[in-house]
Amino acid sequence: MHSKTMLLRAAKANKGLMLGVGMLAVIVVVALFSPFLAPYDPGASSFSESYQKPSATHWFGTDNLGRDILSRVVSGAPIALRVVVEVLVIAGLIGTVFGVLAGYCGGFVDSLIMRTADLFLAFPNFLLAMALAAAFGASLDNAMLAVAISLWPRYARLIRGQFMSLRDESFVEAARAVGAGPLRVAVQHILRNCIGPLLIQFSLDAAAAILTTASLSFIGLGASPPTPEWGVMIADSRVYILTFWWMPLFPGIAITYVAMAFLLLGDGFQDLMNPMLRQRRTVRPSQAGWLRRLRGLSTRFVKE
Amino acid sequence: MRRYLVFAMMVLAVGLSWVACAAPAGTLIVANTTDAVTADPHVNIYNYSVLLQKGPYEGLIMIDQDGTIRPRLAESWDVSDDGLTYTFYLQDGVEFTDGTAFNAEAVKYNMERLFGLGLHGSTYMPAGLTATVIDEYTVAMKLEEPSAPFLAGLNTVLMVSPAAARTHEADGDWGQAWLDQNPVGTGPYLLETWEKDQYYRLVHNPDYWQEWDGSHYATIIVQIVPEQATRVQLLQTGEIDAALEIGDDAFLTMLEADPNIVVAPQPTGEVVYIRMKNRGVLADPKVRQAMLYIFPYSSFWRDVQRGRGATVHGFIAPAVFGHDPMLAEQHQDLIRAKELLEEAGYGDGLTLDLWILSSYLPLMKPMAELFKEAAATIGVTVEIQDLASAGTYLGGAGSPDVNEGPDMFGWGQAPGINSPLTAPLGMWYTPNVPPGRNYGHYSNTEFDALYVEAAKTVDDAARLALYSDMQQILYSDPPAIPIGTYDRYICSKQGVNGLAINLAGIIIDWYTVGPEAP
Amino acid sequence: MTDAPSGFEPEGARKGRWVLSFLARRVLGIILTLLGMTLIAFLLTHVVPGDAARAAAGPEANAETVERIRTDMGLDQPMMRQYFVYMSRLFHGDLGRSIATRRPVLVDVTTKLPASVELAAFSVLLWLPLGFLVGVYCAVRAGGWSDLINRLLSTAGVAMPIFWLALLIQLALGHVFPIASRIDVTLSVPHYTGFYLIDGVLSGSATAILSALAHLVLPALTLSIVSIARIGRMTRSCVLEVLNQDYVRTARAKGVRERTVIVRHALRNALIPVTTVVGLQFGDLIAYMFLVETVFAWPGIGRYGVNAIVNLDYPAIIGTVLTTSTIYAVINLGVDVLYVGINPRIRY
Repeated sequence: MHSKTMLLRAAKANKGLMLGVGMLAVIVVVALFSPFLAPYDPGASSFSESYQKPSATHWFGTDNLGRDILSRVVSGAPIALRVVVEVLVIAGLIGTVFGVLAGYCGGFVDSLIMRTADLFLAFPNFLLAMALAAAFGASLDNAMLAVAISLWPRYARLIRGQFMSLRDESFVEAARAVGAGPLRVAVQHILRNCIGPLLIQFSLDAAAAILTTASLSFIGLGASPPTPEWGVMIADSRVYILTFWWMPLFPGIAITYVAMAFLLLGDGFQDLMNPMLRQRRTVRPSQAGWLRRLRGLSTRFVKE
Repeated sequence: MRRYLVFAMMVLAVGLSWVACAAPAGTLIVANTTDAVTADPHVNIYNYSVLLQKGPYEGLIMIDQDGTIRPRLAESWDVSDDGLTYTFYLQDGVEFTDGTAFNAEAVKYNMERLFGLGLHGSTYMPAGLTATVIDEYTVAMKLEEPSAPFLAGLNTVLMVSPAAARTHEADGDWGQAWLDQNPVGTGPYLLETWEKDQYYRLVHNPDYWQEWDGSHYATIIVQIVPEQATRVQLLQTGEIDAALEIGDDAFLTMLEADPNIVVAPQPTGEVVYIRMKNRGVLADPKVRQAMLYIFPYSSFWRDVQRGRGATVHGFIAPAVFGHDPMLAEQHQDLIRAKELLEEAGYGDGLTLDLWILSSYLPLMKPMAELFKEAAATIGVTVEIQDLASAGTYLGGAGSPDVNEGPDMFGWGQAPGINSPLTAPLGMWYTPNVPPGRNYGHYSNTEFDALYVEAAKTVDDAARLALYSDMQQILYSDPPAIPIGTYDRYICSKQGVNGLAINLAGIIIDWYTVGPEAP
Repeated sequence: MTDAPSGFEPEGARKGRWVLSFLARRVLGIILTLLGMTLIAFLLTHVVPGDAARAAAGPEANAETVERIRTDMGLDQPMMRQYFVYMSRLFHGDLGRSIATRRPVLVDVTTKLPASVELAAFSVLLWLPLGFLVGVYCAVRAGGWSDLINRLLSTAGVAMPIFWLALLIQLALGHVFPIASRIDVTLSVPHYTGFYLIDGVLSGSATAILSALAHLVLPALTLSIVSIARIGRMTRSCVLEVLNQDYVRTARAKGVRERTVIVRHALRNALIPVTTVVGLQFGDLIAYMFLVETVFAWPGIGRYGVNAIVNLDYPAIIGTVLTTSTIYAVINLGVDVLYVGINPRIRY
């Protein structure tokens, strides 16, 4: 279909999006092949090699137990991706279920769910995650759960919003008229329209998930040693910032890199979804041969 | 004629400078990790709180860094032959800062208040102690049983003004709510300002009963700086004069190389343990013995801690009375450990969980990681949890139900005084199960019998022998893995003298700290 | 009085009435939300494993003392009872006593809040205008290489973990500016307001003012870098969207100078979504405060909150949660009011 190829072309033209995709690809590869990419065993301590500066044998130096920091950073990649996936899946699932419920049922159920979502949103995000992580007990899984719980309201809101605006659209009515069940209507028609905003929200939240989990680990409410989670690595080596600066430096760079990849991705999706911006970049009169192109033109019969 | 004039002027100059030296001068800024919890010395006597309390308060006796007991508010004392009655002859003419007199009545009230509150402050006082007033400046303390460490324990009891406590009493709290922030004592410094979690300022008490001749500071400020790296940096830039709790080898080496800074080692009575709970797999003494053979002691202290600490012979630190260097030093022997496990029936391996509180003691992190690594080689899986909350940690480790909480937990224990009885040995005395200090619910009847006897034995040599015997028992039925002792240092600028801590990490005395060699 | 049809009532009066009822509704909402928050905070802190009475008494306390403290703190009562006791105390302004500092939580919060507010306000003065300007600049130059570089930089700024950035700034500038505390401890500044800059001015001490300023630099710089990056990004997309509107194109076609186009038309209209963005940023700012205060040992409510959570100091946790959430809610309310005020499109 025309719109898909146009979309792809627009995507390729968006430098930021391409960069984000590229960065993400690197991380995924590193995460998948981390056991092979790590030059040393990330858990193996070797006291004679401790506190070494970055050098030819240890590109990122070694830590206080003589472990190779490059290997540890590389081993942290699958953990980081796991964090992103788990947080987003949990938040997305909870949010979608409640959003669909709210949107479909309307009335009291809708009010109840939305008020609860508002209550969660009324807390400053990090504060909520901190309190939850402390309540659940300090561990990486609990920290991820805490972050996910602090993020679900956004998805609920998003899905419900789409429901509200699309519920009375003619194509929904048409589908119902044909005899499609409510679930099918929900999934096939309405949720499909959510993909765009959902992708954007996912990307931006992926960055937030990484940063918040790392922050929780930094305070001590997340992963425990000797997990090579980047936030914990920075917390461990924080005291060495003045003397053995490479110990906290590289895990921080890794976090920044991954978060940046997702942010660029999210920005790119946002640019793509914004027809104004898209139009600015992708309309080439010579190629298209049209004077004017109209997108999103639809006709409706408005009931009086 | 002129010669006499010059001579007279010289005498005058010397005289004037002598007068000037007699007044305390200068400001000392010290950085510490944690703020004092309370100014009330009967409530909390952890080292960070005592750091503040030793300004406005003092005790009947004082203990030097080498352990010598010296008179303070008590000029002298007698002990009865049966060791049950201690008679203290108090300094006369000493007043609290509210003008009331320090006398035997005040001492009696203080002992009553100490036991009445029943909080941390009374840890080193034997239960059942009673104080009687003999005359205005003589007070007798009667014990139920002879106790060798009693006098040393008195070092932890500081004298509060009874009038102040009574005047500000509310709801039977012994004046605690008010004395929490407003100290009224006899001590050399007054608490002028206390900005919680930032700093507190002590200014010299001009009416202090020990005159101000000699070298003393006029003002002492203790600044709260939680980050070790920050404390080091402040010391290097000269913003502070002294820093406590610097333990990392890299920092110490850096400071030692600095000609303007003195890094002074302090005695340490603190032994780091991995304590075990008497349940499940660990109920078998053979398994516990195996645990002691797993840890890589010498590589930990030599390579990871860079020599800033050492393995320990027995279970008591070298600086503490009761230490026996003839006892075997802890060492790693994985083969022996494996043998023991097989004998106990765990040749296929087992799983244990280990809690640590690295926010309290950072070296627990590498300690736990090394233990886990070594244990893995003989099939023992150790799961580490680094808790963020001291509350949860204590709740789990010190739970009255032995089946709650972790199998093992990291712990650093120093005796508050130079006697191992309350700690560490008290940690393994059966009746001390939680809420007492026997968190591991350890129980060994032989050990208990020796403990009771040692508590009553006054003769030093006999007591030492008992302590050695007790430690021998602990080797065959270990309650904990004694990892070793870590070195403690006070880092200060050149020209700061007298700043010292005892083996419990508690400051000896602010009065003896001064800006130049005395 | 008859109901006048909408077209006949004076515009201003109607708007005024609407704003008032809007405010009333929002304030009610905030109160209800806060009530809900106290419940959540209370539940969270009491669900946690760990013995608060033990923690309060310390590891050396004997059994009777622990039990006495348990009774004093009311921890032996059933949960519902504890909650009611807590709520009734709350309505009397009693937030309980912190286990760690042993002072009333209200006192702790009111002494520590000025520290955080001063730091936040000082950094806001930095990043709000700068962030906005950066965003506008990028929007105007959109599509070019400088835009891409700026976007990469600001994305990196947002992607950096703020606690890590704080450490790097300590490393880089630690020898020039102080890295801990609010002011030189040897200075005694009388506390009129708790804001050291203002107190310094009031007491006329230039050294105090300079010292307070010097201590603010590094933490404020950390907060600003991340905030400028974030605000810059969002401002850029808001302004860009506005610049692509038809009326802007019309203005350009009319021959209006670019500068006037940008300032008069684009910025004015971009202010609307930017206000929302700024409001959101305050929420993030609260999160940043927790982390930055910890690294710089800044004695504010953020560090107090982190310590409280880490030490299971129940009263302090609830006090911090309530305070920060209230502030957040009030700021959001302010932003909403501002939004309503400047957005001509909202119908009353």
